Amino acid sequence: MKFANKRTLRSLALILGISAFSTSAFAAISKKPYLIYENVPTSMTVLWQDNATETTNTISWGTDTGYGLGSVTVPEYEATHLHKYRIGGLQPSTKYYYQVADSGSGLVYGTGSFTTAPDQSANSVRFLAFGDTRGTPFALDGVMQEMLKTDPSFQTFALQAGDWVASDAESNWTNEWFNANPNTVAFLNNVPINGVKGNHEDSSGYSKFFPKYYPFPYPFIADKATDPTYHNNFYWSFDYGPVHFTVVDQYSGYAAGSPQYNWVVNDLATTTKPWKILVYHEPAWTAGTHGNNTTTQTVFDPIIKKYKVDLVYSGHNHNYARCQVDNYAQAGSDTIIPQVPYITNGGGGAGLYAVDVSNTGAYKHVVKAIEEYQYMTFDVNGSTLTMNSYTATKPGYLPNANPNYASPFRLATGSLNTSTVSTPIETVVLKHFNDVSSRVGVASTGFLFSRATQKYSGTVTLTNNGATDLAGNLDLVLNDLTAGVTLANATGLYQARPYLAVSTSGLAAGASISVPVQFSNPANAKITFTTATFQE
Amino acid sequence: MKLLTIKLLVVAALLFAASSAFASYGVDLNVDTSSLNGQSGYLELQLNPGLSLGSASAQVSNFASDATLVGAPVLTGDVNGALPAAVSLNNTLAWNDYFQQVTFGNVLNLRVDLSGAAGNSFALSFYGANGTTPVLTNDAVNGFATTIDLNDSGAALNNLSSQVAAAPTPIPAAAWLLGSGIMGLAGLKRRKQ
Repeated sequence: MKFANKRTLRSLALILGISAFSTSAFAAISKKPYLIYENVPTSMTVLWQDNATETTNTISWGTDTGYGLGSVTVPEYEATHLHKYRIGGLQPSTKYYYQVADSGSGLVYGTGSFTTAPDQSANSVRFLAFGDTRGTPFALDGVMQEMLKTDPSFQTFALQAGDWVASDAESNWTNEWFNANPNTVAFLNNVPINGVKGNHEDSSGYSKFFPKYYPFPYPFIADKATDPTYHNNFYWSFDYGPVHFTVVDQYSGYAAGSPQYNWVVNDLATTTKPWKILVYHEPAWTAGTHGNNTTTQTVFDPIIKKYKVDLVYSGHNHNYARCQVDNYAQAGSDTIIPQVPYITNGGGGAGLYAVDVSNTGAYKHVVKAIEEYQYMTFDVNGSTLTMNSYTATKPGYLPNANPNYASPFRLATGSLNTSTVSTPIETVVLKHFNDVSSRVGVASTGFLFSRATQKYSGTVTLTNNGATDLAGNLDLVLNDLTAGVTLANATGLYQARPYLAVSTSGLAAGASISVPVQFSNPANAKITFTTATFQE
Repeated sequence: MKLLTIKLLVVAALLFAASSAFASYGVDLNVDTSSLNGQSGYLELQLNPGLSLGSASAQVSNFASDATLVGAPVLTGDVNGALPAAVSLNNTLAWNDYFQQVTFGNVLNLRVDLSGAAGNSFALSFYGANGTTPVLTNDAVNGFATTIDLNDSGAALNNLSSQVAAAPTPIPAAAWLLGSGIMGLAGLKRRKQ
């Protein structure tokens, strides 16, 4: 009996031991914590996924790794054990640390940090941007490696241009976007990512896993009638400091007059933010390999112009391209001359696509394009928005010579090449100016030709005809300059038009100021232009 | 008497309007070319428009020089005539240019009479034997010797050369007429009082 009792006790102990071991073995996290920003500067949303139902997951947070500000138990909120918690009551522009753990097993599932969004009144902000990450996790990890090397002030938020994964299936999300590579995990742990649906998240119109893993606050998300686990209408908008992002779902109806179109119009018309960025996956104007999306041109170019959208942000083509339509020759069949940058930012990991920089045919609008793995930084400061684009590969990498897309990032040993570098592609500065043209009279001298310089020169005189002084920097923009003529002494470009810095100290009422102009005019064409005067 | 006053006022106003919209300006240019005496080079005259849509013309006359004019001038744009006779330039094209090869002497004198809309400019330039290196100029940027800009006030003379002596006609004829009109009005008013 005693022996029997001992055996029973041993069996029980064994069962308990196996049971305990089993619990810890099965209770595990399958997707480590990641962040999304739901348009509330005093909050941050953290998501993670377990591989089984767990009721004792907790999230703790604080301004240091003591996580002393709060801790809550977060139950799963859907059938595949996804957990989501929006940490509220935070201060804007403040760094916080968080930890996700299971209090039952005592396991820590992940830690990270984030910086909350700036207050709605902020006039400066920085963020990262990338896109088209699908298909090659190793390349994605390499791009994220480079983004993690940027100034930390940019790593507070990232904008994704779509095509997160190759196919909107559970396995693709698990193996591609939520891959276990160290930089990807670190980036997702620490940088909130907002973005747009791409065609690879199911171009049929409905998606199941994209909204599951990225449940942004879509105002009009709808179920598929025949299968309510699928949804569409993933259009939404959010503010980040002085920037308003309007995100378009090109795989739900967006024709003029459609609910999405009307929502976009209203969204752009009513935002009070000074900077407006329109986000859609397939670019209306791009540098190939996929052509320009002419449907999107027709629908959105008029409202881009009407509501003064500052730039359009897309992916789809796996390269970097900056395009701008400044005249009817470039516009082709489009009847609108938008004169804003169209950015293709699709070198985030998917196999690269060639660019057409010939400035001919359908690509007359290409300003800069390069076939490289790349990403961007955005720096908005008052009336200036600075975009920097960078390649993110190992030095000397030649895309066309490397059919293995992971090759710029993988060493012969198979491990990640940590010696990749970020090389600048270009810097683009956008400015917001106050148009004071109605108050300023403009006259010129004749434009005389110099055989020494082979250029035409003269002066342009601005007179403040208003009753009050004009303060600050004054710039003169030359519109519709004769084809073939360029302003040789331009200070820079304002929406692709040359401008001259006229004054740094304003212009008193009744006063005049003259600035030299110099034109390159190889065809000796009549030099004509109209002017606009802007106050910075 | 009252009718006369109104008439004079109208005339004065018209003259004033004419003097501001259309300038008339003359200048005698005397160039000391002695530093280049015997050397080959070029003389250039041009009248070009700016943003102005109004017409303008330049008459170059009274050419007097011990320089030798070499061959035929190269005329570009709306230009007629050949030195030493009168040359006329009109602003109808972007570049209206008279380009004459010379062997410089010690002096080169000419008179320029400009008329037309504000926003047009005239230039006198000299180049060395290669036709592109400016000479007789202090203008390090463009190499012009003298430029004249027609503007709303009449004209602005920019003498950019130490070797050029410019003697503008003191007061444009239109201004004389305007002045005499105003003086006449003042006289009438005094007589009335």
